[in-house]
Amino acid sequence: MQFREQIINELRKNPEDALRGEGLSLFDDVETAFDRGGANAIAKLFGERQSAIQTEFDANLQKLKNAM
Amino acid sequence: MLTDSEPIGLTELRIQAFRGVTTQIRVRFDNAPVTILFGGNHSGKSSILNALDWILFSKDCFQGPLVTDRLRERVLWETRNRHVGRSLETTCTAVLSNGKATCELTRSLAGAGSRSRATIHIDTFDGKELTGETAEHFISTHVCPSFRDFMSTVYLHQEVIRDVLTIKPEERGDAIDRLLGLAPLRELARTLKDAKLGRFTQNLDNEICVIEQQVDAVRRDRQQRIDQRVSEAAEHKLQPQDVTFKHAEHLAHQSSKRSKTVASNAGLPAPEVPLPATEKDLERYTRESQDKLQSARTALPDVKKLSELNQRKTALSDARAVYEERARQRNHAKQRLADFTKEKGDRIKLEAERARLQACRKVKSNELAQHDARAAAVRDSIQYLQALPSPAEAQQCPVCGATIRGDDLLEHLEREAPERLDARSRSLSQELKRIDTELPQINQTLRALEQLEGDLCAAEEHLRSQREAVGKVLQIEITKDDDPKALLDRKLDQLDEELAARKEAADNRLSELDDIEEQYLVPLKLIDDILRERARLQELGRMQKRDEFKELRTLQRRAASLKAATEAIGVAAAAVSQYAAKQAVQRAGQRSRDTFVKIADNPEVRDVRLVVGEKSVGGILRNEYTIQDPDGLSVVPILSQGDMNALAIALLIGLGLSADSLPLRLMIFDDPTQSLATPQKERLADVLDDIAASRQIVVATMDAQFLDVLKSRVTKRKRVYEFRSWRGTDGPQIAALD
Repeated sequence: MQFREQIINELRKNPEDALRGEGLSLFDDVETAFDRGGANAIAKLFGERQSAIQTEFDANLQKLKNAM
Repeated sequence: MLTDSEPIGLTELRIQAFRGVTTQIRVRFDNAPVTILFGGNHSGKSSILNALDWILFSKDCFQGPLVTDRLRERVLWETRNRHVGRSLETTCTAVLSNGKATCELTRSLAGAGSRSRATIHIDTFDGKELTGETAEHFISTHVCPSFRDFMSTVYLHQEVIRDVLTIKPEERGDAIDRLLGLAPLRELARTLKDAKLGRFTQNLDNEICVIEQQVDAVRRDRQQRIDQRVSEAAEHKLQPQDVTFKHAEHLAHQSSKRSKTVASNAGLPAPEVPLPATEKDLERYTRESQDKLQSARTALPDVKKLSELNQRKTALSDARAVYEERARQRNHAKQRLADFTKEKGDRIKLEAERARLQACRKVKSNELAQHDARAAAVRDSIQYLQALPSPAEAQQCPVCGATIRGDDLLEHLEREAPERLDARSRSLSQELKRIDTELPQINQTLRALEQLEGDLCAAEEHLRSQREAVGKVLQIEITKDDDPKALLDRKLDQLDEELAARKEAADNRLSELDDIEEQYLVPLKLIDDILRERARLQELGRMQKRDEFKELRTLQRRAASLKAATEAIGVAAAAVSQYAAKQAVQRAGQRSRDTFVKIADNPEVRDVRLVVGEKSVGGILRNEYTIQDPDGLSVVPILSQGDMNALAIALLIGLGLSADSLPLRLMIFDDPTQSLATPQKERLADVLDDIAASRQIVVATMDAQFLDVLKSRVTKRKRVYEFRSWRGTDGPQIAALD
């Protein structure tokens, strides 16, 4: 990405440091997806991340329901 | 990204089977300061310029990953000329020069249709051959980093000019962003916004909220059940403090002890149920103890005997009922026979009457036969006498016996005989008819009598059979002098007395068992239920401390973090876009302003500034460009279309000249004179002449007047190509005019 360093510098100004934890890996993934396939690739990336969280969430939710 | 490369210029383009070009054409630029491509619409000028895009950036120049990067006119672009045969390969070569050596970049299209693939081959300035990724890397480091840079510093496309000319701020913002190479940042911000993570995280929050509410609802339900059980326990004299495992153990012990005593007293084996060791064992103990009690209820000797006596009583009662029914049926048959014989007579009388009627019929039949014979004789006599002469002596009448004078006998017979003989014949016939009527009636009566006698006989047989059955039930022999019913009644009375005695004993035993259940097992089950429900309630209370719940919270935080990071990247992209826009505008600054003022020469606008602001559109921060005079007033409302065109050109020139690190020292102007008047065209030519000192200029135009202006006002060396005609099957016809 042409503006990678500028964006990272800008993110570091964020008082909550958005690059902590998943932030930086997310940014790396966003950058890779952006360079490879633009908007569609980023949409797919977020779709996969959401789906991964949702799947794990649903599994735990079901365990809780069973426990009730 | 760029290395320290020497400035390079365009020497030659060789194009074959590409876009509007069929067989190979060669266009020489020879590093001339200015090259002019002149010709009308669809004469092939753009195909020449597009070939350079394609050689350098392959499909990125018409099918880049970013929507905002794509030129609208290049949607569904066909790279290969559709008229050439398969044998003619699509291939384009750009020859570049750095003043000392040349470099050839050749892009070819392998394969056909959707499976076609562009390949690159480069002969570098120092004689190396490069292909594939290495060759692509060479272009980005030694020629131009990207198509975006190419569009902002080298090639002022017609579409960019048109978009800058538009008065719609958003479209102008897109166009200037593209011109400044900022389209990726705008695209990134838009895409991140489209991820809709806000809705996603909201859904997770809602689901956690729902599960918490469900836990509360289940907790309330369990508490209600506990309250209900505690209330039931109170009815069984269980105090709240008794609802403990310790008390349950006590009850189990008492229950076990009592059960063994009762079993011993009743002569049953002692029930063996292991006492509960833990709370979880209570349910097992209660269930097994109840099963044992239930088994004991049926195994008690008194209960068993009571059951046998009841069975015996049922058998006797059934036998008595059947006997009574059979006796009733026999008496009924007997009564019907008696009534019949009383009305119709007995069998002797009825058979005597039938014999009498049969004899009488025989006599009357004979008499009628004789009478008929006699009547026949009289009729014959009359015929005989009528044939003879009248006799003299007297004669006796064969019919009435009277003495008749001889000659009067015939007259007497004719007068007397027919009436008398006919009367007697009728009388005899009537008598026979009456007998024939009475005989069937007497036969029918006799058959009815036989039926009734048969019924009585059958009823008697059934009754006899039942007497034997009663004898078997009573286990005695019943003689004809015995009354079975009385015998049964007496036996049943004896059984009732025995049953009453046994029932009292059985009830006492059963009562003891009921007492064990009521006193110990029911309270035990209540305690077990309450303890279980309490345990479940406690489990619910710990629900939010379970790993699954913690995991849900973690995932919720991860989703929130994803959302926050995404938003932060979007905001950062917008901020960088803003910063980069300001940098680029500042870099292009004075040169762009001077160029604009020079070309436009608008007396109302002696100075302009491109001011970068930002505006939130649909939650996305976007660059907004306003063109202001030194007083900060927007000049767009007073700019003509020609002025706006001049502005777009001025921006490209400013940006292009400020890109000092770009090796490719080339600026391409595609149809730059839209809406420009003659004086403005002249000033544009002067500007191009100025910048031709540091940049190689390529101008494509259909404007004959502008061609003349360029020829006369540009002082640098020029190459001029005229595109005279173009046909799909032949490609452009190009003539060099210089």
